[in-house]
Amino acid sequence: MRPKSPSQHERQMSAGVGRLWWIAVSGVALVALVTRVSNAFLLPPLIDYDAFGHGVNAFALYQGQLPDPRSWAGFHPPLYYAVAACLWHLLPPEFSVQTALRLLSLAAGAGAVWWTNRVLARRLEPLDAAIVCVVAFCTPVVIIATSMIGNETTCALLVTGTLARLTVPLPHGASAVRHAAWTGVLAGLAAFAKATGLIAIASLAIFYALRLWRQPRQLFATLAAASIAPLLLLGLHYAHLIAASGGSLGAVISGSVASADNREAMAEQPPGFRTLAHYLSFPSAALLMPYYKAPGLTESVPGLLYATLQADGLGDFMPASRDRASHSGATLAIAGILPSALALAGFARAIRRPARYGWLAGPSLFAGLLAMAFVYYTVALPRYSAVKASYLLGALLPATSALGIGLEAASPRWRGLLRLLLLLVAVCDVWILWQGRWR
Amino acid sequence: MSAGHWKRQIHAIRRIGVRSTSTRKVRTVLRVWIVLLVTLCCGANPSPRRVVELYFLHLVQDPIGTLPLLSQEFHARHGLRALTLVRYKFVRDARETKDSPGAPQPIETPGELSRAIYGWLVYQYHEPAWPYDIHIPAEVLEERVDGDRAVVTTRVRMAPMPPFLQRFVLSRSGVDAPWLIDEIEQEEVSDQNVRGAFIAAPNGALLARYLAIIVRQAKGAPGSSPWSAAGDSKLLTPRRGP
Repeated sequence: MRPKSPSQHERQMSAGVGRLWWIAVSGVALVALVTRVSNAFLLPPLIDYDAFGHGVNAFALYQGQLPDPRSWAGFHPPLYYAVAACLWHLLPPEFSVQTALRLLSLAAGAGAVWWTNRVLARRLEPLDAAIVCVVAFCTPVVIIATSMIGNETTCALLVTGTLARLTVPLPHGASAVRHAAWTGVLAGLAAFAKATGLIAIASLAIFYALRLWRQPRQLFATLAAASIAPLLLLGLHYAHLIAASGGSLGAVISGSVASADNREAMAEQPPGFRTLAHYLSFPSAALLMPYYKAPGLTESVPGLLYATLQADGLGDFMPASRDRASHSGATLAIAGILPSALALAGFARAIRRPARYGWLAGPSLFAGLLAMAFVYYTVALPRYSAVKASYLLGALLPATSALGIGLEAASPRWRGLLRLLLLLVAVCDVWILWQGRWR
Repeated sequence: MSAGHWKRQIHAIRRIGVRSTSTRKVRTVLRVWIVLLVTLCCGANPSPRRVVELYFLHLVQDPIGTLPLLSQEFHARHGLRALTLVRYKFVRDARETKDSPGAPQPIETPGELSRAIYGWLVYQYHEPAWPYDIHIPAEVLEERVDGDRAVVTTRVRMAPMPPFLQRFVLSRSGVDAPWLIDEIEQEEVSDQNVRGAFIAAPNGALLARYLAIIVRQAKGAPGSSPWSAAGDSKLLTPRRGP
């Protein structure tokens, strides 16, 4: 038998190693999904963020009514609750309603990650795209949001779909108008799930304006087509809120028409004011004890944001009072340094190479607007519960893209090690935040 | 016509045939799903006994799941009102107003109904005495149906507390309407099982009685209770688990 040539042998080795990586990524993704489904059943009742408000809203839609705008969470747009109500009607009466609503949230979050992978697999090496998407799915903020009742993941799914359509070159003529119409539908539905989707609509408008400003007729037609669905959906929703609550448009969007009990409760939360120092500080507690009651964390916006992104900063998911929870929180936060640093590096690389990463223009525009809105929100509502990474879930696509670009930038010698470390971080996060561990 | 032209025609017809087969399959699957959905959505309403069983199934473990079983009149009667994040506001308000805490209040606006529903959910979240992953052991003793009203009597045994009777009054607005719980009455409730009675049927009157016992215990043995005599500690001990 003729001996194989070195290049043929190397190719076979490379294919074998590639298969091993795919098996590892698939295994981590499967474990992440199974533990997430398990969390939906094991998480104690009503421990989800604003579970009472979301539950009552879903019940109102279940009865064929709109939520009371002056109730705890009645100002939220109804899309998630409408889908939840349909699911509630379909399920047998013995099935746990809260579990069903949590699984709905999981399905939306998984859909957002899948959509992100579809975009990144075309732009990056498919294996790197799969790895960073699995890491994103296993980030603590995503684990917690997809294990809880809530409309954040539904909004994130639709925002991701909107931004995905902005990563492809714009067609011309009538095709551009059709493209804009369908993208407007997705953006409108995102805003119909949660007010964060309004930023997607704004991003869409600015994106088209920047691309088509030299063709005013095309721009007008495109913007008109993109705004049909948002105007229809949101016009009805906000007109109803204004009529029912008597508040202004700004008040109903921000939720400040909510009950007096709710406002009074929020007014009791620290810190109560914001200074520039709050936006520049990063206490060590964000890494060593990432819990909002730790020294300095209620004041530090970057610190608490990191604690809620890479750990259970608000203490609603893990038992914060137990020692092993504080050790686990620190493990999560320290492990999260690698993907966070890699994403920042990828972000810097994308800024330095606009020609190569021009496809990221739309998602980056959204991420920038979302960041500005977040800063404004934390100033307008200077309470620690306003600093929550789950409010930024809509930036899943740009954030994961930055992580992928950061991984891509690594030399081949280091890339294998980084892939392995990222997968280990994902496994660590999934294991620590699996509810079965705490029962 | 060339041979190539006829070949293309035949190939096009074959593709139509394939699409037709696929379309028929899709239509068949859709028909099955529609029949299934209609069957699921239009299933028979549960009987009064079944409603009570579902009540105990969902209570504590899945409080949101109890909401379709309860009428507006029920929420007017239980006397628990919305607290949002201010979990002890109910007790504070009662002390401040010197009213009977948890007295039934008529529901006249959607806002009041929302507050009542929130109150119902909040107290199930905060009651720690019964593990949330265990069903409340209740045995149905009797079911009496009289037209559009029904009474279901159960015996609740929450060891080691003494058992007590819990009677459900249900009604429906028509033959095809679902049965809803209007009222829950309890008998054989004493200081030894008032906590269990509150878990099985959260309401303001039982809560006030339960809190009075807690405060008495705290005064009698300082430090042995999670409550201070002034009652300014958190309302109920935290739920087990996270």
